[in-house]
Parts: sequence; structure tokens; C-alpha cells
Amino acid sequence: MRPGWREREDAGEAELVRGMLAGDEAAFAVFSEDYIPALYRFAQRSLGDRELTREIVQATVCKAIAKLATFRGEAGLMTWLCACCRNEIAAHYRRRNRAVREVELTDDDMASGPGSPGPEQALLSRERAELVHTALDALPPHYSRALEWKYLDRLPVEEIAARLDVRPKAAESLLTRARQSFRNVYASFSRKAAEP
Amino acid sequence: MSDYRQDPLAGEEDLQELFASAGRRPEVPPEDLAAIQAAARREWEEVVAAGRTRSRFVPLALAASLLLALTVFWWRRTEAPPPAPPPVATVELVKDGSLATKVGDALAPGAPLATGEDGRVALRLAGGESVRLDAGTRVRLVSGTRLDLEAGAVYVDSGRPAGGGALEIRTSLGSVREVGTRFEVRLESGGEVALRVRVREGAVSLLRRGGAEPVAAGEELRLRRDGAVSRGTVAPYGPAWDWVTAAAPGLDLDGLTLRRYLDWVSRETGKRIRYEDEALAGQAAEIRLHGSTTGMTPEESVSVVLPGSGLGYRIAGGTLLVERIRAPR
Repeated sequence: MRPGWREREDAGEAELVRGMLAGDEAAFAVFSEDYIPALYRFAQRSLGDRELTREIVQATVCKAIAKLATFRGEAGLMTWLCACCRNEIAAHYRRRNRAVREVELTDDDMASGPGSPGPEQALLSRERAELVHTALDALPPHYSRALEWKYLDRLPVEEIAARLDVRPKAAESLLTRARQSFRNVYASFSRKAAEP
Repeated sequence: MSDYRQDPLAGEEDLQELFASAGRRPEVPPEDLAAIQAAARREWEEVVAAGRTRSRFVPLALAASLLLALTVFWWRRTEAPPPAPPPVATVELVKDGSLATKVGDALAPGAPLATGEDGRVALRLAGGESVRLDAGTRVRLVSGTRLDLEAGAVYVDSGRPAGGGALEIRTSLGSVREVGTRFEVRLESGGEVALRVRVREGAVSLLRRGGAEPVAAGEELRLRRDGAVSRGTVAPYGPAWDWVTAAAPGLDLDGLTLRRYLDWVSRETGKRIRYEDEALAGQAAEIRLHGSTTGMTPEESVSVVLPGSGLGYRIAGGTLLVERIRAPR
């Protein structure tokens, strides 16, 4: 069986977007099921409030789809969506006549240390978890899914291959690329979080 | 600050430990996700429709420019409409006066379908699977092998032996993948249980974050809103399946043997068919029927078809006993 959009390494995000613009249901399903939840988590980390998160993400997604034709694939789709979301959040705060809050891909509030009470270890664990989750959300969804299967569900490569509908060797290659991407993104976010 | 920022992921074990300590990413509230996804779909459908309209107008504009510049040729390019995608399902039964859909309608990929509070619909997918929608159900037929359930319940009879399945029912709480062959997926709108999966025959697998949950024949899996899973048993017949039986499309009996008809009754009602004796079982394979069961449930049809074939029957629990009619003494 031909692998779907999620597993097609040859199908980049620009192609996914082209598929969506051409009315491809499968491409839209990937966007809807993989990118929207990640964007929601991104917004929630920044906003906290659930009602507002839903409002902002819905507005972001609708506007992003409306201008989907302008996506060129130079940056990742998730990065592009996060940028759209940041604009939406900023516009929201402007509308409310409040100080525009800086929204970064990493959570500044956590990274700069809110000075909350409690053992340092607990704080570090929370920081670390936030960074891992943020990094996973920033990866192409099929990478983050494969990593979760591998390291959280502890599935053997054969099982991951079966889920991806690819040969074990291809699954291993995908995991290698996913690991490398995760390391890069995580390191980048960690450096950013450590900045004063 | 912490050491993980210096050399956090040197090896495989570090990565394993990091993921284990971080745990899973937080779940998005299903109601929020469903609302955003629905809005995204509406926007996307508009964008796609607008794109198609534009693609027809662009050649016309080019032709107009050419006409003005050269004033020699009048050329107009008309684009043939793109070929319609092959249908993914055909409507076999509609018990809902409010639905525009009617029996025989072919449904295109992506078609949404919703039944009213008293409505039921039966579909035949392109792959041959029978799919039924209970009252108050919203689904989207994404493709011939995928159906997204947004509310209510669907029942699937794939007609395939175990192991041959490919159909997937997706919900916001997880996907149910058919391993074969007859099962129900129900999204509950209230209460502690959010999702129920009942398997009448064969097996399915509920795929969600955290892995796969196999569900075997005679089993009911309940996924609570807090993510906990519990299991119970479900008989292949009885009130749990009444709506499925009520939504069964009629059967064309012309030329069908009595035994084939009774096999269908068994499949639809979940009841086992027993014959009074071997000779009667053999006879059932010889009797040819005529007509149709349209307008009757499978159980109602038994009360017409068997007496019409000179036979009687009794129902006891999960068994339908076919017997000869004896002359009164």
C-alpha cells in the first residue's frame, strides 16, 4: 500500500500545502489533525487561558488557510503557523489596549525563571518537559509521532514501521532523521531559554 | 543553570530519559479541537472553491488581452470541469425525512452526513462494507477507507474475514481500525464515558496516543473522559444492536435460497440459526425465495418469509430455531 501524506518523506510541506490548495482531502486531514493540535499547544503555552486559546487558534488557522497560497516552504509550516499565531496574539492584545506581550516559540515565562517557590529540581523538570513538548510540536508531525512511539510508548522499530506502513529500514532512517531534528531544535530552544 | 542545556542528548539513553521525564504532550480539549477543525474545514472548502473559480477565469482574461492586442483572432479557452472524483459510498437506506440524501445517491469523498434525532442511514462503501449511522450522528466520508465520526454512532459490517480489513473510523479521541468484521463506534455526548467500541464479530483496534487497544468479539471497550479504559462484555444480539437492525437495508430475495436468507438474518440480528434437523437444513438450501424484505427489519421479515416457505420458528435467547409446521391434532 502507498504510504499516506504523513509517511511520505518525499512529500515536503510545500507539497502538502499544494495538495490542500488543490482540494486534496488527505492533505487537509494531515493539516487538521497534526498541525492544529500542535498550534493549539503552542498558543496555550503562551496564553494560558483556554477560551482565549481557542479563539486565537481558530482565527489563526482560518487566516492561515485563507493565505495558504503565499506559503513558499522556505520556513517550516509549523514555524509559519506560529508566526501567524504570534501576530494574532499581538493583534488581540492591541485590540484590548494592553501591552503587547512578546510571544516566543519557547516559553519565556518559564525560561526566565518566574521565581516561583518550590524545589529547584521540580522547576527544572517542568522547564525540561516544556522544552521537550515545544520542540516536539515544532518538528514535522510524523517525526514527533515516531519519536513518541519510540521513546514514550517504547515500541520496537518493527511496530513503528507497521504503523507507518513502511519497511523497518525506512522506519529506522526516519527515526534517525527525527532524532537529529529533535536534537537540533531542542538545543536551539534550550540556548534561547538560557539567554538572560 | 541545569546540565541538560550543556550536553543534553549525547546518546540514545539520554534521549530515552529526557522523553520519559517530560511525559506526553498535553492533550488538546476535544471540544476545542473539533470546533477549530470544523472552522478550518469551512475556510479550506471556501479557499478550494475560490481557487477553482479563479483557475477558470484566468484563461479568459488572457484571451481577452490577446484579442485586444492582435484584433485578429478571437480565442477563448474554456476549461473542462475537473472530472468528479469517484464516489466513496452509495446510500442504501434513509429513515430521516429531514435529510436531502436519498436512496441511491452516490457520495463523493469528503461528503459530510448528519442524521436527525430520529433518523438513520445505511451506506454501502465502495469497498463493499455496510455502514450504518444511528440517530444524531455526524460523519464525514473522507475516503473509501476512512470515515471521521464527529458525533453519534456508526456500525460497520465489513463483510471481510478477520485480517482482511482496512477501514478506519477516526474520532477526536482515537482511531478505530478494523481488523474484521462487525463493530460499533459510539461517541457519547455526556457522562463519564466518552467513547464506546463494541465488537460483534472479528476484532478492531483503537489507536490513540499511548498505543493500541485491541477489542475482540463480544467485548465492549469504554474510554472515559479522563483517558482511563475499561472493558466489559457484549452479546452479539440484544438491545445494544437494535438500532443497527432497524437501519438494515432491505434484501432482494429473488432467486436467493432460504439458507442464504437465514444467514443474512443471522448476520443482521446476531442470532444463531438452528434447524430442527439435518434434513430441514438441507431443504433450506434448496428452497428459492422471491420478493424483497424492503420496509421490514430482518426480524420482522422472518415472520413473513418462513411461514411463506411453509416453515415455523422459535426464538430463544440468541438462537432462532427453524422448524416444520406441524398440523394441529
